[in-house]
Amino acid sequence: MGPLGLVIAMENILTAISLIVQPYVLMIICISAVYGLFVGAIPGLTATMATALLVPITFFMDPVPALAAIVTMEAMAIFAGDIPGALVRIPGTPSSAAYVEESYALTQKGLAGYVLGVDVSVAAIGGLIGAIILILLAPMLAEVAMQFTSFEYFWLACIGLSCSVLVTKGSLLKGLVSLLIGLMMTTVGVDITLGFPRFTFEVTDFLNGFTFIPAMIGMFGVSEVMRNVSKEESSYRAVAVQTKKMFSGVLRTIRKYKLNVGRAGLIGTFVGILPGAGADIGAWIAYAVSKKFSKEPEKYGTGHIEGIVDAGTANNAGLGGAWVPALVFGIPGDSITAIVIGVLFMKGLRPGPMIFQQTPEILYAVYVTFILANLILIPFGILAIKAGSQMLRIPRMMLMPAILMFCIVGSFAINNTTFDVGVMLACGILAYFMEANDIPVAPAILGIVLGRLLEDSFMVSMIKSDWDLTVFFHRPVSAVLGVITVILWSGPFIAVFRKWRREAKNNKRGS
Amino acid sequence: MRISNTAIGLILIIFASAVLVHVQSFPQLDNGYPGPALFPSVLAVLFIFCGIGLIIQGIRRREKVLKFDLGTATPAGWANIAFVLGTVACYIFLAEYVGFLIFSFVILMILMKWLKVKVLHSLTMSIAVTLAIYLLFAKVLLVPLPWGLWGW
Repeated sequence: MGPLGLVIAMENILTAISLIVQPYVLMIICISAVYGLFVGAIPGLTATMATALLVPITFFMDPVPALAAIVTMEAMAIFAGDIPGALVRIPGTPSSAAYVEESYALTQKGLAGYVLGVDVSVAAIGGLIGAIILILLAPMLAEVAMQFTSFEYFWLACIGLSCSVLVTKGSLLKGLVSLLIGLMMTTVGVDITLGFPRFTFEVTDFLNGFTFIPAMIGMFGVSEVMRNVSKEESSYRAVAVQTKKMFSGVLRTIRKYKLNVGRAGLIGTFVGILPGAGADIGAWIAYAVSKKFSKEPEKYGTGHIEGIVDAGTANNAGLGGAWVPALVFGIPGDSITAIVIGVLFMKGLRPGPMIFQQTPEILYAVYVTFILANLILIPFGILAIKAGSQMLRIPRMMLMPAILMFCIVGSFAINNTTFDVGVMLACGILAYFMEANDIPVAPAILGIVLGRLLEDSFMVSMIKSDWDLTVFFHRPVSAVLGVITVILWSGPFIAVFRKWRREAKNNKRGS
Repeated sequence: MRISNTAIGLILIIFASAVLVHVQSFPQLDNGYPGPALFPSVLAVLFIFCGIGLIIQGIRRREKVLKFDLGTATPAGWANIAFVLGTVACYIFLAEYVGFLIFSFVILMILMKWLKVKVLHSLTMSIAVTLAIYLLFAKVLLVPLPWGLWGW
């Protein structure tokens, strides 16, 4: 970046600040902060679900306040997930699952206030690390992405989708099934080559394909409501937190583990950048790394703060990371950015390198909100910790009908048709069935978001080149991306082949 | 609700075969190259591979093909799920006639009664949620919520 570039960047940042520091936008940020803290602190409600429920409202807003709302909400929700983890041993969101045992063990030693004080501080630091990496890395990658054509986008979509399958916990095969379900859903509607209506069965509502927002609300809202009402109401006995001298030992702890914080911030951010791997996977990896390199690994699991520092930093850092591929390539880094990209598409804004030239204020608004959200995380977080045990006392069965009603109206509001409510219902049942059978939902979401890009870029490239498949390897960048894709695809096959050989060897030795 | 890997595999193969048959009716590009049918066909073939893979896994683990297990949910839990789904279906078919305000209040009361929430709680919650949605969507976001026959 030359001096001129620096001036332009400064100008854009000032524009972004002036867009954010307005009573209306600040009010939206405060409301979404409270919303995020509430949803995060209630077990069974996830940050992704919160995004799906927020989207029908942000759909009617300008891009800047809409993005500010989502960024603030997710930062708050991922921290607030730690609160029920420490108080009642149940993670508020999956991202806090890695260190629930550890937090609860400390609570039982009477240190609930201290744990949550560390949680909120490292969450803010982690969030800022993620934001800074996002701000530094995104423009650099965007310059590379400027040269991309439909060939490169095809490979990029392939890499993104393959990643989302490879990072799934559990069976790769089921991850692939999930991805295929998502991709198949995008084939409904008018096709790009001939404008032929596919799989519409003469229903006009299907011509534009599955409506994105109702599908997301179904998959993350309705399925979650179904799961919650199917379980007995659990009464928690929450511990009251002493918040008075909460931060007394916190600074010392963070100073002691400052290297851990830095390391976990980097791990979290880079895991967040990988498509399909979000804050939860970042936290698990950071916790494992922390234990591996710790001087006192035997203390892990018995109420040792070190692992919490690492994992608590990593999950908030992952949020910023997930926005890197989302803003630069239009390839989502996690389920939340997948929903955001889908909505931006609907609004005619195509995330990608062009956004850096055409609407840089949107970009800088995301940056500024990320910094702002993580700064206000500490005061808002302290309030949430104080209210923690009260929030846990709200009966879940009272919340679920209310959430369901929001799901219904939110789906209806996008196009004002009950058809979309039907789409929501069908997607909800599908997602519930998938999760019950260990088929992860995240790859399907990436499939739904990237399916059209994948098919369109392939068909356009093919027609351009008169069906010469080698064009995908003609351009150097495209060839490199293609080779990466092929390596990603062959990985699992090589692993299976090796396992077979090993088994065959063992059998021989056995006989 | 859990079913066996073999059963999932079979469902995928049947679904993919139906797709493959259906796409035969799609038009081709001028020069005979595949057009709209290409992408769905590729997906269907991959579905079949996955289906075969899942069946092999199922056989290796000696699963019962017709294993049908309601999972962690109790029968009461299943009734709750049915009730939730019923609510959504009701909205699709009834809201237009009843109107949003009445529909939302009544259905929230019924749902919470079914889920054994205390009457006082459910009354306040139903009124609060109905009004909040009404103000947010109808007044602020100007969404034309269904008004029903009585204009409510």
